[in-house]
Amino acid sequence: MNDNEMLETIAAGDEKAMQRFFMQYANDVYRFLMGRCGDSTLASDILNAVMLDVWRQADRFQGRSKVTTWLMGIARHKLIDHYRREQRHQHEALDVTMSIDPAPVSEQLVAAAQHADWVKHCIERLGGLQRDIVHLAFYQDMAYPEIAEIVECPVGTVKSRMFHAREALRRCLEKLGGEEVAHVFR
Amino acid sequence: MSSDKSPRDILPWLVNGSLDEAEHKTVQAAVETSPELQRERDFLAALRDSVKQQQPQAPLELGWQRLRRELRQELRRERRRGVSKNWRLAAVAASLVLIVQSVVVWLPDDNGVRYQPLSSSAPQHSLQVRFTDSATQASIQRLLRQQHLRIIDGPSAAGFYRLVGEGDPAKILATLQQQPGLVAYVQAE
Repeated sequence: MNDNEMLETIAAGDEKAMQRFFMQYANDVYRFLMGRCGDSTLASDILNAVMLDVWRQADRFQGRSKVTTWLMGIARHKLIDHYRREQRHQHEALDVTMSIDPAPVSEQLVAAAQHADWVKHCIERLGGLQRDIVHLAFYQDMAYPEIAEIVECPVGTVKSRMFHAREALRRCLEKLGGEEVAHVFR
Repeated sequence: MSSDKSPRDILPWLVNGSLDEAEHKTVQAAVETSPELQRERDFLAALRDSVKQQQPQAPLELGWQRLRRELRQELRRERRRGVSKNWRLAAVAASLVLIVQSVVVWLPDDNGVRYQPLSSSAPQHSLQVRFTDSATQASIQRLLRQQHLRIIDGPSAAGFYRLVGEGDPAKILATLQQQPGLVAYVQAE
């Protein structure tokens, strides 16, 4: 059964089809949410709300985009709505209009990027949109037009946010790498 | 910026393998002739590997049990209301007929005499709105209070809210359209 058939069956009220759908896509949605909020309780709550929307609105999926693109879009809106209710303001780490010449990448920087913990620490410090784009590109391996559809930005904005995100990650990882070297020689 | 800015911009998508054939060829060719781009690609590939190592697992079984409980509660509520999924279309169709009838009743006749449905106290206008991602709840509440609007539905899967109000619909629409930091999309219904 392909995705469209599965959603048609869900729209007709088939619980088994909904279970198959949940088992197939829950991890993708959960990881996207965890990458953005880092809170397993909140990620589980929003995953549940996303899947309830699928149950209620399966007949509205028109197959123009991939199911994952549709799901990530719903998840992102739910999370933004949650933060809005919580009155949490999200600040972008870097202004998108800033012009930065990319610094050359050193071997030490490539080595620093291999530390999963450091990368996690640095991604958590990115602004919300940059974090979404990094996650969708590197975790979900999505193409930039798909990412643009999910985050509702022009593709040029996706590229420029990714550019600024990797510059911010580079600076953060260089700092962490420098701190470790200083610690070894202390 | 260096001359190879364009290949650099889509280098992350070379690394994740999602570029189309033409873009892949262009960027790959640029990388092969530029040691700088090769190091950048290695950096992005290391970042991607590290991101992929962070694999939180969704609580699948517990999550499904919870969802199933809520689906069944929803089905029970619908049955109690005598509504099944198959009846929703009929209900929507019936609502549309009512809306059309209301519009017909509202249209002024040749004598300029206006008729109103007896059950209605004041005309209400409906809008479909999507707020910007950065809009805060406080700023949305302030806008709604100022324009005497109420949220009656939403957010939908695409982030839309349905609002109703009793003021001049053209004025309200114009006011909302002049809030680019707050309102991403607005349309009268």
